Amino acid sequence: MKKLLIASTLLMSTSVLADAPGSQTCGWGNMLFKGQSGTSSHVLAATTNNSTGNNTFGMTFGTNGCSTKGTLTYGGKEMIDVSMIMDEFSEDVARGDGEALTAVAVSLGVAEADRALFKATLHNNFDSMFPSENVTTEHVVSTMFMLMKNDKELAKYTA
Amino acid sequence: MTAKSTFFIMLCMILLSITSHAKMPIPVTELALSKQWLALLHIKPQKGSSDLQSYVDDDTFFLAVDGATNPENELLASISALKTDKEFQCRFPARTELLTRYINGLLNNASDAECIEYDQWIKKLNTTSVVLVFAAAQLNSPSSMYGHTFLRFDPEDVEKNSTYLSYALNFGATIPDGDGGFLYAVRGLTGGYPGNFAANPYFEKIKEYNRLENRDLWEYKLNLTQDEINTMLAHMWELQGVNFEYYFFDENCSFRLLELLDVARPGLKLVDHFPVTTIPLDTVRVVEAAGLVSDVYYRESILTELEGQLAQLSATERSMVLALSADEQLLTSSEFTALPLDKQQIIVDSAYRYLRYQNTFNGRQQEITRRSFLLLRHLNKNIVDIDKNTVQPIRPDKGHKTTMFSTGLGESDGQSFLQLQYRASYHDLLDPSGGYYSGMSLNMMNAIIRVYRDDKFKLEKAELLDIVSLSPRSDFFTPWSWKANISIEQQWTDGKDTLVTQGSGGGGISYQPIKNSQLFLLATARVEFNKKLDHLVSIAPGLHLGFLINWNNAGLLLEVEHYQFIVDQTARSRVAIQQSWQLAVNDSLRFSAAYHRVNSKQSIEHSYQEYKVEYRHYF
Repeated sequence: MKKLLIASTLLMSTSVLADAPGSQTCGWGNMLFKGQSGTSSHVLAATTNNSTGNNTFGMTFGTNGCSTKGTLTYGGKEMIDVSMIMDEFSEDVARGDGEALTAVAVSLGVAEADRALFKATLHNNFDSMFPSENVTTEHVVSTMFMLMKNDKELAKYTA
Repeated sequence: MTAKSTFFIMLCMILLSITSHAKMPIPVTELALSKQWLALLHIKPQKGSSDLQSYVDDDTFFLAVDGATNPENELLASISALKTDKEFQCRFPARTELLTRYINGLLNNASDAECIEYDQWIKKLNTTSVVLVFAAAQLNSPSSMYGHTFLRFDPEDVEKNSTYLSYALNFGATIPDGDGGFLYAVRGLTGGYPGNFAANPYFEKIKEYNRLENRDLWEYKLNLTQDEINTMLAHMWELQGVNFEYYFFDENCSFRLLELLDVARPGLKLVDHFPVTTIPLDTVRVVEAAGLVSDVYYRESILTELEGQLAQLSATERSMVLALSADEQLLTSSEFTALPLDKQQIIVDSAYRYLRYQNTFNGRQQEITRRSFLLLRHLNKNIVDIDKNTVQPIRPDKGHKTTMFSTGLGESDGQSFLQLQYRASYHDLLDPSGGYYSGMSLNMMNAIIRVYRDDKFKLEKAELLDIVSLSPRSDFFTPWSWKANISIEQQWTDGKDTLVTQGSGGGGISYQPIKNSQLFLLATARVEFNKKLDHLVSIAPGLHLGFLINWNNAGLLLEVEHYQFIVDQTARSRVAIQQSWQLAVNDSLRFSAAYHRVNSKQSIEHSYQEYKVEYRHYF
């Protein structure tokens, strides 16, 4: 059953992603433990405190060319750009709680009363969401939506 | 309540606040010099001078040609724009609010403006509280000791939600792509880059500081009222894309944030506390002293968290963490499975964290990525509540203040002296350690004067820069320790004390033999300008061995140092012991004794002792 579920998730994800902003380059193809590129010398950097942000005041990103609002839409639903917090999110799902997991819940509009259920649902399905270290954001997000849709309390948050 | 109705209510509140705050009209000339108007233009009135100059370095911010220097002309230009130009109200919502509040009938004359972008922005932020965030020092980077500050804007109920989604506002220099190296640091110091405000979601900041730079974050929640927050946001909007000059020492991140707080709550005059330099840590103190802080939250870095976890383990368990991070076979070994479940879990958790910490900048190495994932999955299958055992260190703003004055008495080579010392900043290895990181020392502008028995004044030392960064190595972490120093100082040369200019530095290793202590050895080199030596410029390699221990209210430093000049035959050795006691947060006592030996080129050996007792006051 589980396998079937994952298979259907994968099938549907491509169609849902059609209206996601951008393609693989936008972070949907991001894998776990991507790491960071090298950093400049901190001794020197400390004199400028420059940041990676940009000067417009919307919630924008300097690093991810296509999610200009810090959010991604998935099937028309706006949410936090999970590709930016993949490592933190995977840890929180593994442990069953944490700020990254809460942030995803809040960005999806999951009410406080349903958050424990949301977290437990994801936590108990860690293996489906994160089948291997090479899992992509796309798979993680589409599986999460699938899990939510299959839960009668959480289904309402996917619309 | 739907988002739409919340928004509507907020709009009403803003409109209401405009009308309900309609005060007695103020003459234009008076309003032009009011603290609110000057704050909005970023003009700081100088004492004893009628010259006014805005910190804003950007023509787009002013309507009047001489707006940066003439607040009255800028005010008149703003009033006329308000009547005719709808754009003005959307571009300058804080000015609009102030002018319509104090100028009679202006609200009725103002053109009807609909500021969709601004309204959406306000709605999206939905800010109900503001947090001042202080990023503490980074390991091995004393230049980061001054810290960094930025603001965070939280929506309602953020405690129950997630600060990840809050809005962070940072002021920093804007560096063009491709700039780097030494020039970059110099330009940062001297105002060569424009400064801008930039916005990010808070989780990007957590990533940047907690994860990538491993700096602890201190979050000081401010008690600003909703009106004050609205004013601040309105003014922030006006600063979008506006250039300031950026200077590391004074007009830096912290200075700009204080200006914003001055706009939010006029009359605080926070910026007046910093006529010369603005050390971010000191701005936190000023904000605290102004009664603005209502709550403090400590967010430890990935490294701090990992170290705390490792500290709970025995030596055997720690070695298992290391073994597990190198090979997951340990999971099935009997020595591991025999452990209680919670211990097993802490070991797996630590090994996972350690792998991630180590490989932050190493990209996706297949083997490490695979093992990290296996450990994470293992964690998922074996959930045990791990006591994180977070020990919150002393708050940085509760540590000693950053400027120091000391008086002392001593004897050197048989001559007694009175000593006065002034240090502009910041902290040395033996200053009271609460709120600071042990082993990290950064001092700038340090001068010592001695008065000897015969009323002779002598400049003992004038230090431009003194950095010592000791980071203990362990099985898990292998940082380097280093030091650097530039000063003018007395050195006994050719029969008498001689004032020399020197630059020195070194690198090496440090270990932690017992808790809160460091045993270090540095290979050093010194360049000295000394007219009494054979060559005006002399070079000396050397060694510096030391043992430092910090207790709660005391510290002890034992040192042996040796320099051998090449070409010149001069050699210098020093053996020293220093002990400090903290008397109060901002007072300490220090005893020191040293034995010096100088071998000069004529094979003359001179040795002498020096004893000293000092009282230090930090302010």
